[in-house]
Amino acid sequence: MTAGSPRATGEGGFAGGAEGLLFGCLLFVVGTLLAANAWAVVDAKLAADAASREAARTYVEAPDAAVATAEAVAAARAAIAGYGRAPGRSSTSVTGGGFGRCERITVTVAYAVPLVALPGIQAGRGEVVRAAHSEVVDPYRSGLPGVASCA
Amino acid sequence: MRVTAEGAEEGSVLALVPAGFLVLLVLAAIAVDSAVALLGQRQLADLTAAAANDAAGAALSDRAFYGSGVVEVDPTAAARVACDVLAATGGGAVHGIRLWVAVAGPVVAVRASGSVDAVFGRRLPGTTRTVSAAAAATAATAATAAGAAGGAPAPAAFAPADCHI
Repeated sequence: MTAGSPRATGEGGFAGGAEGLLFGCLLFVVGTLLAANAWAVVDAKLAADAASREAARTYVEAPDAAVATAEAVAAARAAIAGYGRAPGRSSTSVTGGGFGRCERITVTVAYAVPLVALPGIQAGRGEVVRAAHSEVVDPYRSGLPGVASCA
Repeated sequence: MRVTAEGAEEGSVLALVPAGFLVLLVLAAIAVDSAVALLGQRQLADLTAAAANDAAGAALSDRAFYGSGVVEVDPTAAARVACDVLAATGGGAVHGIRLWVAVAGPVVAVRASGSVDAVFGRRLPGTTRTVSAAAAATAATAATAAGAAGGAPAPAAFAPADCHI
């Protein structure tokens, strides 16, 4: 155990290694949560995008105005569920001219993404993602009164 | 000298742990950014499909049908319908969207391109990706819908839609 002893230099790298483990764990935890949250948002946007598309298509193909909105909301919730997401976290709104020939409607689906709180980063309150899809009710479809005025 | 050389390697192995995590995080960031680009491409595909589908109905030429009994799409009206779709949806994650519309009789085709910004690599040069999509729809009467599959417009027939959005 003198200054020239081989054992005296054996633990030289241990202090640096312990810091590396700590830093690595922090990097791993924070980084993994950050990537997982980002992925959750992107995945939810994909689900909302598909849901708005299905809802808009269902609305313009509905047999009558009485069931159009209800069927569109049901289609959006089914699409959300198909992506493995909770339909209860989604909300669907139909805006536009209503159920009539040539009327343009836009379906917006919002989904509240639950996020995991990141240590030191204020991002744990969740994120609401939205997607919109717009279509025109077919001017020449059957089952609707009136005439086509847009073509 | 031999003992000293062995001791110097003890710390370097542990330092590889955070470096390995960093590599994994970079790979995860690349995966997320690629998914965002895919999302933008799908949104653009939805937009072109909706534009073509709407134009096949709302942009039919009354003059052609009532004049000669032919189902045709009006190119000007088709471009207007395509712009209406873009205005209504906003494009989602895609910005700088440009539309091209082509009409060949009852067939209307819509092409679109735009840019998608990366999430993690936003500050890095060259991380804005250009995505594109195309869709076509054919207008047909109920009597001819079963066999309706008109010829697609030629590539030179695509004209830019001046949307002013």
